[in-house]
Amino acid sequence: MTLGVWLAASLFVVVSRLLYDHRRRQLNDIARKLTDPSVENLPPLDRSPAIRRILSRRTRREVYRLVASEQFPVWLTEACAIYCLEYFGVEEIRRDASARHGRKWRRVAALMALGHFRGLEVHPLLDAAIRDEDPDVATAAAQALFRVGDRAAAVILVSTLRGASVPASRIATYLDQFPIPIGDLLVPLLRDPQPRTRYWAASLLGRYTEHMRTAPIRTIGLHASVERNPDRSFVGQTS
Amino acid sequence: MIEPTPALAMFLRVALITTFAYAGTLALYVVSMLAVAIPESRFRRRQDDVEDYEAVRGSRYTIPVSVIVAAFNEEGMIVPAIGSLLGQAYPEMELIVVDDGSTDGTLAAIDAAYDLEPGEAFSRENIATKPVRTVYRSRTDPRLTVLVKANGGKADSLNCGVNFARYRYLCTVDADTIFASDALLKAMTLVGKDPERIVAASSLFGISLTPEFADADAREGPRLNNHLLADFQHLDLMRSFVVYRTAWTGLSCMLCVSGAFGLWRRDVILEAGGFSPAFSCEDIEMTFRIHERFRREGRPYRIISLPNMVAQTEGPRSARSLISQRARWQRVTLETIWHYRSMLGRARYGSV
Repeated sequence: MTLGVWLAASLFVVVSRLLYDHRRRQLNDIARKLTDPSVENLPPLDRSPAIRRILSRRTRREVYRLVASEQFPVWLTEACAIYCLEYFGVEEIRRDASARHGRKWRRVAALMALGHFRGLEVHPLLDAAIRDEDPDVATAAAQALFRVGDRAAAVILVSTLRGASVPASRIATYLDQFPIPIGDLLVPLLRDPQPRTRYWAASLLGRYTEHMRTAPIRTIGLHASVERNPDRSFVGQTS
Repeated sequence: MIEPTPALAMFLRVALITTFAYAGTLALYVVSMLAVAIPESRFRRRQDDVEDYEAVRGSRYTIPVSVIVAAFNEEGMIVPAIGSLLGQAYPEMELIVVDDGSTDGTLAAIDAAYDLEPGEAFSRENIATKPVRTVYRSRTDPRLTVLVKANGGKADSLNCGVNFARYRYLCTVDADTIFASDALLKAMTLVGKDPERIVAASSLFGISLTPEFADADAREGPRLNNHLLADFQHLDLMRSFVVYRTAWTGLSCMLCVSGAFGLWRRDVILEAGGFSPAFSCEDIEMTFRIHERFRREGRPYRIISLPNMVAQTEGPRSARSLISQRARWQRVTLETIWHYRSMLGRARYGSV
């Protein structure tokens, strides 16, 4: 019995390691080809066919890992996302991105791929994902919304300041660096019943002086029972 | 040929069976831990791979961290260690060096490198410690505070640092360790994903004969030292971190947040009453204390080991000092386990 357990565990360990090494080698090989100066220095229009040639006959798992990896330059992950769109189709990516059970990292990669596609009605899907209980899935959705960078994406990100499995500090990071002005979306949060939401709104509005002048800023400290009973999580997020 | 006496034959048989049983149990334990460590390690690698560190690095909303260095007679290593900590690619941190009554030139070395001047710093008397004699601030880097106090041991120094720490997260580190520039960024980004539950974290570090000259940013870890003892220690640490600690993280029973690089939530340390000077290894004891408290009260929490190589530290240079170090580790581990023996076998404490 003991020998059997030992053999089974050893086999699992060795096979896992071999598989890991094999996948790692393949990914490194693709990454090396993609980041080769001969590809990187091509004009954007010529670059896509070159990338397509490198990615052809690669599995979805491999391409998804490239899309999701933050180790590569944005142009490269974008090119890989476009490849996904062409070869797997938007419906397949949507299906992967909305899968609720199992294959978590595939879901994360699909969400990040969606972040590269503007105008494909990806917002409802990303809205659902950012409210997911899993922090990795929710953070990937936040990253994707930041990358989409339009007003609808900002509305979703602002709404999650009220509470989501992504820490508010991370949402605030993306909103602070958001590519379009979002001051008017933050002003209503100054009247939010939750002190932490009002804090984030006021802090983010610091960049928008025109809104700070007109916003009902006095409500930040005077609402509800903030002074008498400070919320622990509020303190945690701001200290 | 000499026939062994029945008594000797019996002794040899028992010795052989015992040896095989011990080796077999150990092998089974190691392989089982490896089997548990693999999915956990894979999960952490994937998490690390997709993490948007650049956004966090450039953010003004990163959770700030107080780094506490307890130093006692670290004249040779303290300046490179401080340099590697102040060179962290992390937006907001403070560095508190607690000189635990050093009798060598530790303070003079810091002064020469960072131009210290006597100053003041805000502190709370949350934990009783030996008195602080002088507070120094650096003229060249406002993030650096040096506290000179009466000698009271490492736990006392860390507690003193906790009293002076301004931020919600504490990073306790050794003064003879050189850190990779993204050590804090990578650890805090993952910890910050689940701040409600993750109360402490540790990460990998290697052994180098000359950490002050080594490339702590090397992703594959330190190069071989061409020194049997140093390489043995490095491999042994890798076995411990890559296999055991990763597996313990997977099983939710991390037994030690390493003193060389430990991230703690300050409220949890204060709630536990600070590091205990009564134990030789304050890091193991604190880890056990947190387990005991949170499990007893049924509160959700996690203590994790991260997969990134964050630092290189000095190890013993002679076989004698290595043996003495290992004997001390065994002793303090047993001391802590004995102290918390009431946790053993009780369902409330689960895998711990």
